[in-house]
Amino acid sequence: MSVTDQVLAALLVHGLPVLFGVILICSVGVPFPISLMLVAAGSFVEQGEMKLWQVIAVASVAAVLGDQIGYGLSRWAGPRLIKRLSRRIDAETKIKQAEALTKRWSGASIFLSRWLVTALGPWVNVASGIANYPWRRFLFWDVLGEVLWVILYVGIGYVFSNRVQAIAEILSNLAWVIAGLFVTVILGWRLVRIYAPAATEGR
Amino acid sequence: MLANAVGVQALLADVIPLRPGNISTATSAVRDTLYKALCFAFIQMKKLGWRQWLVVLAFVLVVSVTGLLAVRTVQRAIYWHYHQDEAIRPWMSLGYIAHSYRVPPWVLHQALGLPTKPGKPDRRPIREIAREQNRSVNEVIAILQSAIVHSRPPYPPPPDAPPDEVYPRGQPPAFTQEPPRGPTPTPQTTPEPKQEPLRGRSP
Repeated sequence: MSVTDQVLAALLVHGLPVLFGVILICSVGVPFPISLMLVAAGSFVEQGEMKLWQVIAVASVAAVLGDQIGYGLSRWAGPRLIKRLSRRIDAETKIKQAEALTKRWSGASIFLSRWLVTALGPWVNVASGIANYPWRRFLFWDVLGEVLWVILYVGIGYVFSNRVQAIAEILSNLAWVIAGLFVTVILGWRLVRIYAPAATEGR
Repeated sequence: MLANAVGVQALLADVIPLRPGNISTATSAVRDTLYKALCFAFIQMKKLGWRQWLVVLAFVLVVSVTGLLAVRTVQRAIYWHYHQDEAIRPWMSLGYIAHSYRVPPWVLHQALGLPTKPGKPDRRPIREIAREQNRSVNEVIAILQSAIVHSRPPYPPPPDAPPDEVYPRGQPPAFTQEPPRGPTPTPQTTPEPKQEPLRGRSP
């Protein structure tokens, strides 16, 4: 039996504690079939086996807590790691640039990586922690994004409650496509910036 | 540099030979632009260092993977648009299967020889039921599929509530009879009209 089957069977039997535990672990960065689980929870709500507000509250708290762990750990351990690396290469200026960039863009990237580009979520937590992004602002965008994510996925499970497996399969594929598009845009932008000076030189 | 561009153009012309009679002016204009773009890219690429090459490589890789994933997502979405039933998985409970296949739950309970009016809802995943009944999960899935087939057209629809006493005492209903032990048990029911396949039905 696959991990997915084990997790969903546990969710059926034990309910909310399993939902809490799996989402917490997943938000820290361990890959789990999380979209399937939330969609399944939505279906169980529709069938009257779980309560809607309980599912939304427990899943949101678990997701936010997991993100805080990822952020906190990288904020605590990140600078030490960077100091070690800085001795070998001149990383100081690069880090300062990265910090400035994070402070400018992190609000949007934290929010979007909670519910739209979910595959990048744990990475954004680590990046925000290392770049010393203000904790209150991180928490604000995190809570907003995670609650939206939970409501979205549980809602989809509620609406398509008789086709959990199929919908979750499509959703998780779609999440990777969105993440791929996101990275494509970033790399494409870099390519344009590489090509632009070369083009002006050539003239 | 110019010689290079002319060389590439000649090479491309070899790969896509010109047939003036077949190609309209518009198509050849598009192809001309494509040639120019390719020549420009080729010339510029010769100026790139290894770091820029890495970005180009990553871009091509990410675009291909994203494209493949997008195609797969669309394929799955089209598949599920035309197919109603999802496969029965070990994590599913009888309640969920009944909900997903739109049959009254008691039909499935009866098929497995479980009480049709349980005091509280049975939330066990079918792998647990299989373990309790000393059956393999595949065997339980086959029994459930047979019960589902027999409660859909051309068979008469079963009533929503379980009948109190339909069968003479001591004689189990047709689809709760012990299936033959083997890899794929077949239902032991009397007249066998044309069986509808469970998966792959159009809505």
